Amino acid sequence: MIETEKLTKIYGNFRALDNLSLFVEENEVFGFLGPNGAGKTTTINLLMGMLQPTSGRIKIAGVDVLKNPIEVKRICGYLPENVGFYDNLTARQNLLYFLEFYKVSKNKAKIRTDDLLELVGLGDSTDKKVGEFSRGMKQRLGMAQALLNDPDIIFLDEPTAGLDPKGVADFRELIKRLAKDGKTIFFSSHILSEVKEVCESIGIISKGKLVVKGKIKELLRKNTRIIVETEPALNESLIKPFASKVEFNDSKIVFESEKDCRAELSKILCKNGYLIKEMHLIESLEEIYLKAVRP
Amino acid sequence: MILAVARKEFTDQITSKRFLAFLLAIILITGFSMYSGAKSFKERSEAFYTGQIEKKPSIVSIFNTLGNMGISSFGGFLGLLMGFDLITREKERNSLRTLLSHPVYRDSIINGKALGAFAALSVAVILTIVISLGVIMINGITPSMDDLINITKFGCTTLAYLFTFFSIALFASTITKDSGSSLLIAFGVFIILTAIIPLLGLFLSEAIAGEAPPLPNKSLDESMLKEYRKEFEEYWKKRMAIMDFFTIFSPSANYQRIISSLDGTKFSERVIFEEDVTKNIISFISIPVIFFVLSYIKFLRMEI
Repeated sequence: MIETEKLTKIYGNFRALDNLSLFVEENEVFGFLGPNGAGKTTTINLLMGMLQPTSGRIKIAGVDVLKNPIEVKRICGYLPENVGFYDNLTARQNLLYFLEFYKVSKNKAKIRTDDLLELVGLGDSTDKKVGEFSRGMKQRLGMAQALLNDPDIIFLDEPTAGLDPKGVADFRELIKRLAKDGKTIFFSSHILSEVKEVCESIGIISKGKLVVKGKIKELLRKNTRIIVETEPALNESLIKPFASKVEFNDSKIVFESEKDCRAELSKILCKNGYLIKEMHLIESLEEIYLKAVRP
Repeated sequence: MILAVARKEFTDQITSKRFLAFLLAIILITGFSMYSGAKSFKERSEAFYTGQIEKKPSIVSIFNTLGNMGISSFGGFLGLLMGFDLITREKERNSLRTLLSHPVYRDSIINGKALGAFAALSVAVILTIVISLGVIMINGITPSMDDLINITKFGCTTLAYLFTFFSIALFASTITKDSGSSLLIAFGVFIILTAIIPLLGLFLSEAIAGEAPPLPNKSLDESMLKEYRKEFEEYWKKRMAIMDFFTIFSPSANYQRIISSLDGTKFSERVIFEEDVTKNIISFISIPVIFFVLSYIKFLRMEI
């Protein structure tokens, strides 16, 4: 659905994006992670045809973005970071203006804008001027404008920034609903818990390079760590068959494992007369992230 | 797509406080200058019918007063104020990125914005002319068909003049990051084109052509007077040629020269002046076209 090949963007001497090759499947919710300035927004702008790459190729739903950016915009929705609107217009007027660029009749446009404003929780503020909106309300309106054309692919750049906890929860629900409707969602975020909750796969970008890519479950499985505390203190040799890297933390042992081996390990420990005081799995996206972006 | 952008731009412009404030100022100036122009026209008409002057006064000359008094300065400001934040405002509030995420071509955006602003300027000019006609007709002056044609020409020239400053401001708006810097640049260009260039022409013409030939001290006979006149005319022609070179770069000087030519009178009270305004018209049209094309190219290549 979304495919980039050796995508590079250079500003002067700064390489904002370096040979980014990416593939996002249809109906996938893809989380795009990376520190500030890593190239997330640049990538999304390139995918939306709003920037010209220095080199590389982009295809979205089979459409070459460089050759036909307008066609791409017809099938995509985009919620930019710090989304902006016309403050002198109401929420409905803003959406109606953007809808003028799609072939939609006036009646349908009105119904569509009202439905979307209701969907994002702005049903009571349709005729309020956007200049009077809070940041969270603008973000909700941004989501509505990203869905105006009922897009197949939705790009969301830091979509929950500025939202209150209820707003964040509503947003997650909306993402899940859109995913269920078969939309492909590409979204960048700093909030790892959010990405873990709504995404199936992730990509981590650092200094313009894609450093990690894969299904979250698989990535977490590969990076499984198990913490064990026993009475008496555990003999390291017992965990050797499961562990790739062992660390001692006071009376506890923390080891990396390729799979969740707790059931097998507990059997062995019991057989050897150990009393298990603590045994649990650490599946941390944060560790994967930090390991990936660490200089 | 262009029409959607143009319609929004037009509505934004004509409902903005700054447009309405300047329009009000121009209307007040129009009322005042048309009233005084109509009074002067009536006096000159009386003088013509009583044989005191040879040339019949033209109604368009009343409009020239308006052009020279109000539009050349206030109108220029209006054009600047309508364009200086056209792009920077969209960048500052991030609406440009939102707009560009929808299927709209960049050239449709800039052309639509220019078209909308042009329509708003047209409203200002039409309103000014309608009020002007009202004032002169209240004063008992009825324009003939020829007058109406010349008044239409005056309106078109005025519209082009306002659009010139709009395009300068639009250019400033595409090359700067914020509206403050854009206004500063647009205003700077306005001062250079309307004041500094004509003044530079005046000073340089004097510096290059030197002093005017002195009037002979001894009593003049007919041939000496003829000789002196010829020498003086040549001196003035030289000075005017130098000044002309500079004034063709000034939209306000071109505007005044073109509107003065509409009623067949010479620009200002100078004795000798080039009456052919072709090069002024060419320059008058070229300046907004150049600035608009530069804005267009810059906007199309702009990294958002």
